[in-house]
Amino acid sequence: MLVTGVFIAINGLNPLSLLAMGVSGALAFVPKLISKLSSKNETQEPPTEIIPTSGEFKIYRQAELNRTTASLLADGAILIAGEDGSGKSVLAIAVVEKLQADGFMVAFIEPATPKQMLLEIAHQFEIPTEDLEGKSLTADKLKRAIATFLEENTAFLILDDAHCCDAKFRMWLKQLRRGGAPMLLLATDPPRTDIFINIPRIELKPLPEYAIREIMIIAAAERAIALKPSELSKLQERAGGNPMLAARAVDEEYLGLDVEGADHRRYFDITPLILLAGIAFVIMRFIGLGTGDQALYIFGGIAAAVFLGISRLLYNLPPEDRRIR
Amino acid sequence: MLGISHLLVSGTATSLLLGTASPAVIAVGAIAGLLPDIDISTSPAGRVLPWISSFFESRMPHRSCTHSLVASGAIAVLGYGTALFNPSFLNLAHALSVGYFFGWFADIFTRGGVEMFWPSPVRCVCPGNRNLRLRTGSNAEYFILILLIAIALAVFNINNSGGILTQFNRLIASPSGVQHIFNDSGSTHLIKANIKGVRTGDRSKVAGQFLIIQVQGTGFLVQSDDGRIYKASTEPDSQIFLEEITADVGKPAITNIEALTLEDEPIGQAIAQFDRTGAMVFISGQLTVDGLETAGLPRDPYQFPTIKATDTSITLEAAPLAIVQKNLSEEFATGQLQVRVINSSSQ
Repeated sequence: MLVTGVFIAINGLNPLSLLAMGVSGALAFVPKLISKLSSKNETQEPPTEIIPTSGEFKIYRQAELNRTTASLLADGAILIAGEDGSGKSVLAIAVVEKLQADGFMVAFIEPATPKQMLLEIAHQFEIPTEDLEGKSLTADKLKRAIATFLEENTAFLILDDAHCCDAKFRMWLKQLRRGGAPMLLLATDPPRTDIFINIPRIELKPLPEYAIREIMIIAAAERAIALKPSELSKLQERAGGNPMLAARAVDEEYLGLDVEGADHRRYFDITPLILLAGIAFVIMRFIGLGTGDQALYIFGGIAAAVFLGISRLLYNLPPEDRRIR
Repeated sequence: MLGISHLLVSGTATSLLLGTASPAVIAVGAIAGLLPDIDISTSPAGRVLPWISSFFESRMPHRSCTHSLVASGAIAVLGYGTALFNPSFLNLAHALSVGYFFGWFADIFTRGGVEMFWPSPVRCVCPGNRNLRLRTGSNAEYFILILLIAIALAVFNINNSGGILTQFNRLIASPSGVQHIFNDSGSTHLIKANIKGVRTGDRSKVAGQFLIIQVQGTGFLVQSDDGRIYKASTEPDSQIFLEEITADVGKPAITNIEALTLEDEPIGQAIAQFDRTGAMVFISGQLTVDGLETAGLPRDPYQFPTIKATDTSITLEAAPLAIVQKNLSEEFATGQLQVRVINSSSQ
């Protein structure tokens, strides 16, 4: 632009200088545009940082991981909700490892009987589970001991599959939360009640397709099977953004199972949309009526009636069984 | 879904929606039905265009981007864009769009479904119960395939004989259907009407084939093989009360309407110029005369009154040339006539 300015100052404003100004303007914009595009790409570029975990899973949900740990470190509580196999447990393990690496005490438990879970928490927090006389603490005493511990120390409670815990245990968690204990709950389709509705939640979205493809390639490599891109593409249909289903599809291929349907939740029944086509015949009928075209009127009427019949038939088809049969 | 199923679905849909029996158009539609499966290299389209298929299959799941409304839109833009520069491709562009759409839409009925609203990852299916959806190569698909073959043959046949509405008109045998055919082909072909009805005079049955001369009210003026003219309609002034009427497009025949002005001159001399070999001539119009000289015009109560005459005027309506010449040739008249000349190669 500076060079153009000098050029115009020397030659004056003439068509040639105007052309030069236009070209230089365009050239000045190109680097900005490129940088803008590249920065856009950078923002869209998925995080490629591999978090080493015990399950050797790559963490694709880096944003959720950071948000969760930040929330816990701020003495908050958070619920991570998602469908089965959406990667909640992998995320929980990553949170545990991150917090432990920072030197925090973490109790990571999975559903069992209330007493077992309390004992597990006490064990992981190194809280004595026996009194001075050597008797095992009752569940109520354990609850009090854990609550006291969490009040006095910076420690985190992480509960996977929290939807499987009974209501009483969840009420105790609610009381703990009232006391300000930081906790992370992970649940599949939790009910909108008690502790689940009391704390903020992150709903895990399906993974992007590139991540699912990577997971499938890794799963295939682990099973030492060579899958062509076309096979992976077909298998990926069954994943629906769910990493567990992606790995399962590879497993099914490995076992030679002939499977076409999938268990993900991305299916959407468009039967009502198809039946909307019947409206076209109703419109045709009215056009026939309005224009006095007897054939169009009768044809539209018959077709609309047939569509109505088909719609009743389709609506009365048996729904899918929720159980595996 | 099998490739042949896609071919049949798209080919049939193209023929049905475009109302065509043209092999080229149907072939384009059918082949377009295979295009959505270009997203895997093992499909026919993928094998033909491996570079495109390898791009898709390495990036996205099967039946996603290429099986969507977005892809259909892109194909339509491409097709109609080409047709914009070369209008002769318009029908092929229609076929491409319809064939492509039905190519992926058929996959909605399979177990896997399609990402119809891509880039939304939702997989659209019908019906909701996966056990009722089609498995590729299953017995159910072969059963559907047989049905499709039957439907395709029926559709091709119907379109070959005039299209669905034409055939439907034949089925319901209504005057509006005949009017459609008369409007479409009346100027270039003889239109033969197959009439079933009764004579309004004595309610005797009428069933036979008549030549349609012209539309008259909600019915038609028709001529029987022996040259008699009737009005076939459901109106009270008709000679044949219609119960059923269908039409067939007959031999090629060009219909012309010519105007004729008479200035106190003999009718026979004026209309003689239309007495041509191989032409059927029907005259309509109103003439004034200074006292009608002809006495006793023929009156057949079973026929349409093509000639109505008073002392001072003559009204003609689709009157055959021969009859006018026979009865009114010596009359001096003034007025305007419309002469309908149907020129056919042979009658």
